[in-house]
Amino acid sequence: MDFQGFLVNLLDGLAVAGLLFLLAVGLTVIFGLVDVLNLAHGALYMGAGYVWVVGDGTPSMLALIGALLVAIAAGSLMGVGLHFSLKPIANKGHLDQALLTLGLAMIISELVLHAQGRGFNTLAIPDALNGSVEIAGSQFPTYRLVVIGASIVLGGLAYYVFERTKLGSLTRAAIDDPQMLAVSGYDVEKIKIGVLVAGAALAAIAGVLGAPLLNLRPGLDNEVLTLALIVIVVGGLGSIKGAALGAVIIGLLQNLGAAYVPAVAPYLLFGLMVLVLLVRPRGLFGRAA
Amino acid sequence: MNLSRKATLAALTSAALVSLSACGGALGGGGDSESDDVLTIGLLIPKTGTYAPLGKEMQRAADLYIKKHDDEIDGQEVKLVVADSAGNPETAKSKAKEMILRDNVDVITGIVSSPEAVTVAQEAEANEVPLVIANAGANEVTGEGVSDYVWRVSQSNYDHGYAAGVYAATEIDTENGVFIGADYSAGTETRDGFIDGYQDNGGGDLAKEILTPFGKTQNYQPFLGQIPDDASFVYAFFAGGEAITFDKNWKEFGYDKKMPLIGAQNLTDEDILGAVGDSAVGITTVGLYSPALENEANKKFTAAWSDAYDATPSIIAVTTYDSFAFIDAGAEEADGDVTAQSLTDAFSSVGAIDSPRGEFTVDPETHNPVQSYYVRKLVKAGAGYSNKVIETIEPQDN
Repeated sequence: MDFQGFLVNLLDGLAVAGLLFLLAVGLTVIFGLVDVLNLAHGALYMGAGYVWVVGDGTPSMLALIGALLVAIAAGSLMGVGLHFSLKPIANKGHLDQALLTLGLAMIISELVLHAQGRGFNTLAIPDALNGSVEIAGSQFPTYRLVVIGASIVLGGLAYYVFERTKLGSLTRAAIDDPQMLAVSGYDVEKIKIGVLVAGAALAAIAGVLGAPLLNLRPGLDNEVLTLALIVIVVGGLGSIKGAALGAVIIGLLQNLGAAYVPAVAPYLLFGLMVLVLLVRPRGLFGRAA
Repeated sequence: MNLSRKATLAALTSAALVSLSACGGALGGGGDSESDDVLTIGLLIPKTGTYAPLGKEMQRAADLYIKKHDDEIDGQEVKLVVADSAGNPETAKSKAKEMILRDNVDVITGIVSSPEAVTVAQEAEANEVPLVIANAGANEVTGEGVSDYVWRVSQSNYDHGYAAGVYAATEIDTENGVFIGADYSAGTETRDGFIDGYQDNGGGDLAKEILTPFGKTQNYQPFLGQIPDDASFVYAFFAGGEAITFDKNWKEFGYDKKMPLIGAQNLTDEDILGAVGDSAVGITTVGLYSPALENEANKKFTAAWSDAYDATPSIIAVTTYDSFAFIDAGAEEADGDVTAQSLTDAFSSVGAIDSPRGEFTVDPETHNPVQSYYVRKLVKAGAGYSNKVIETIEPQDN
């Protein structure tokens, strides 16, 4: 296969990776800090996508930005909601939490589908971002570049906040030793809420950005959740770097697999996950237990 | 403790729970399946899922036909029973059973997708209630060994593929063709028909056949990437939401400038043009109808459709409308009491139907239509688009 074609496959895989990263980063940090695997993350993603079609569905920049803002606000609220609904079962173990978030996921997605219908929605891209640009002799859709760019910027921001700011070091401290942090006079609960809000808002952003690429339809929530779970299993739980690397690996594997070895493509993702679990169960960047 | 194992477990749990969606549905009690003064027609359509837009179009066509005929077919009051198949063959089968046993339908029509046609045909045969397929193209349900109860007014997947093959070989190129399509019966049967039509008319082997996971593909880029650069044309089969996504991706990745795209009719069908927008302009498709056809029946039909829905009818609108015309003609032939059985017997003697697609007959031997195909090129027309007819392919003897 020629280089041009490979480049297009590569870039397109990165666009998918960008979406997966935005989704997985919240999932992984929430897990690291709050010790909850938020199975409602996929539903948050899907619900945010549907925000875009709430209006008259015209593909304008205004609609896109409006949808982003609404989705971030709604996502943040969900984050707060998640915190308070998890509180009563804080010490009941992972299975109870999984069931609770799974229940939330079903409620969110069913409400969304009830309101918006169970149809198949393809979304038009705003004119300003529609069309294609030429890259090394091949055409590539502008919007997919925007998705790549947005995820790099947001990912960089998340990484900077987490690794280089005081807020970030407090968060890391809260993950590593919450008791000590509390003794030092910090409010661990506030940090937890903040992380839930940020994670949910990122999922919402991914949902809006990804709507024209993955189409809005019933089942979207579980599809993206499964992918995000594979990303963090491969990348390692609780690590932003892991989420990024995992997302890139999964995004590329999905696209390049379908392009070059279509016969085995459906098995590649799970094959990789099994391999990682066997060889390095904590994931590529996972924190050692 | 292994946290990732828990993650996997939870993921599996979620998948399992979600897939436990609603099934079943009560089988209502008795009632007589004998004749009354009401002709009960079961319309089985996908109201949810990828093919929901097609189901909606079927519903509109059915409503329009019934309204245009003052709620009567052959002097009998028409009662329409609508059920959602969700595009799923198992759901379709159980809904068909429900229609037959609970609603006592005299005939079933609708049926968008090929896998549904297969399961519903079994149900029709088992319960001796006629089925008139208004869209689905599954080869096996008509032709040799066809059930007495199963009829089709649309086309078989093989037939429209064959017609496209004739066109590609005679007008485009006899070498280096590529097929791309959804990997399920409609896609592969269309491909088989295409290859036969292509090779019967001097075409060689295809350079490549690309199949995409049906109902799971939201991004065609990796598959487009498999098309060899020196392909002389691509013949594509996608329908509904998949056609929308494919058309957009084709243009976004610049393939419209690289090679001609011939599509099955669904690629530029009227019901998806609104969502596709300009991306589909210039695509050539081979299909059994175009709203741009110039004949009396079509003029009346497009005008009535426009009045009722302020839109241009799609192919599925015509085939569904024709399924009612076929049932109507059958009821007339049945003469007197119309029951499931008398209707079935009468379908053999229904002659030519004056359809918006032009006159066609449903072959009493194969139960499959004998009809012309049209090569259509999508052009901009006023505020919208038009599938301009550029060539007619006479009925093929295949």
